[in-house]
Amino acid sequence: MKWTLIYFDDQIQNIESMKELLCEKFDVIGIQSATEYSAALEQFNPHLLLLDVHMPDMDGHTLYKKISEHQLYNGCPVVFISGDQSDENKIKSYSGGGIDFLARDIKAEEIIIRLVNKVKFYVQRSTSLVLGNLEVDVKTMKSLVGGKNVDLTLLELRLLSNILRAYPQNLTRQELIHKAWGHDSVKVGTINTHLTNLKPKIENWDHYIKVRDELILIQKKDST
Amino acid sequence: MKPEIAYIDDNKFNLDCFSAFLESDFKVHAFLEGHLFLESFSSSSYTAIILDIHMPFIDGFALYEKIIAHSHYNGCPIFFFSSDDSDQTRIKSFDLGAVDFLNRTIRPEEMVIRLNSRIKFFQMHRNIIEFTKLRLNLTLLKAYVDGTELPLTFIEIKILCLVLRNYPDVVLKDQLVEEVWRTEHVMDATIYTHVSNLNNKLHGWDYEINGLKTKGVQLMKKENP
Repeated sequence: MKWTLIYFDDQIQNIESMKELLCEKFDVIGIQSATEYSAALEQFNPHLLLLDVHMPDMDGHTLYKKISEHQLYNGCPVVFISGDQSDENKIKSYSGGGIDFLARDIKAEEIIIRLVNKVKFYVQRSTSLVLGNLEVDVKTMKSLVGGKNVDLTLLELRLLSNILRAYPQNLTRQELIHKAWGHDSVKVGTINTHLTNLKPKIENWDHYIKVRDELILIQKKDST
Repeated sequence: MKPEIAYIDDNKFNLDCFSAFLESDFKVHAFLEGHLFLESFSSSSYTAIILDIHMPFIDGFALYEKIIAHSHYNGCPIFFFSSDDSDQTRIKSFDLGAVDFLNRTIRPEEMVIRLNSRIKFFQMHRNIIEFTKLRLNLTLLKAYVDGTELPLTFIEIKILCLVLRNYPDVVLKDQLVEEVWRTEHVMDATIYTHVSNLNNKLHGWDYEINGLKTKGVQLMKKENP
């Protein structure tokens, strides 16, 4: 269970080393040709975009502009990476909409932490949660499975949105209680009851929720 | 209107000097000590917070944890600002969840740009709607007036959210029924019972929801609060 990161860089060795560095936290989709951004957005629903600034067919800042205007862009954070640490480059990256700028010589550990940190900042605040064919929009309080409306109770919406927000990390039952009720004085067994009631409502979802030991897991259904 | 930011630093010289150049882009609330800042936190609303790390009484990291656990925290980006640029300090800053670590040697122009980039992202992804004394938290799906949680039903939260998002416009009856009940027909009496129950629960607020007979509902300031 990892976050999805799309990394645009014309140098294959940069992509390979980033895949290796981030393998524990992210599924890295490496794309060498910036002009393929449209196909990438159609195929993936990323949690983060990492853009190399200097690329031959399109520079990172232009690429960002194209992506941000694309109808399939989901609003996830965009981080620039470059060996060019000039003020001009940094300023262009931040003011152009980047949420971070990574110099190529930053320590490996710091790169991981900064990227994870940006994803968390985004996911915690995002009001539109999508996983597979399930969409939960907490702003309009609408939930859709395969485009069809699902009627949830307030508590079910709280539970489901918190489970989705934590994904791909797994909450414990106690953590979910704290998030959904705002206090801890609810029996952990209550969670199972509510999840059982929730299950038939979202049975057409291509994922399912299960409780194992204390952990609440989301798993993909086998496509049969 | 400039975005309001808070800056906490125990060094008076730094506080004055950085506040002075941030003033051109922000309304800066400067504090010499973390507890002073926390005391006024409930009656404030910032779009960003800048914390010095090494401070007596309460250091930046401890202050950070107090802020994010605070019931009044609106989720705004928090920055650390320090001359201690060691790997350990930087990594701890990011690990806690701060959006950036700003080195004291940073150029003022770059600092403003980095603040603005995060503020813009935060504004785009705000999950908390604030409207005078009322706060609606979309992550928790809870509403508060003056920091006190309101015991709202799901229908009431949906109505409240809808009128807030549409303020100052009228929410037409068809839209209200469609978005709140998700059916085609709901009796007028039912709608107005929910609205009037909601208004009763919102009595400490200086706004109320007015039912406009056949037209719809609208959020309006109370005439005689």
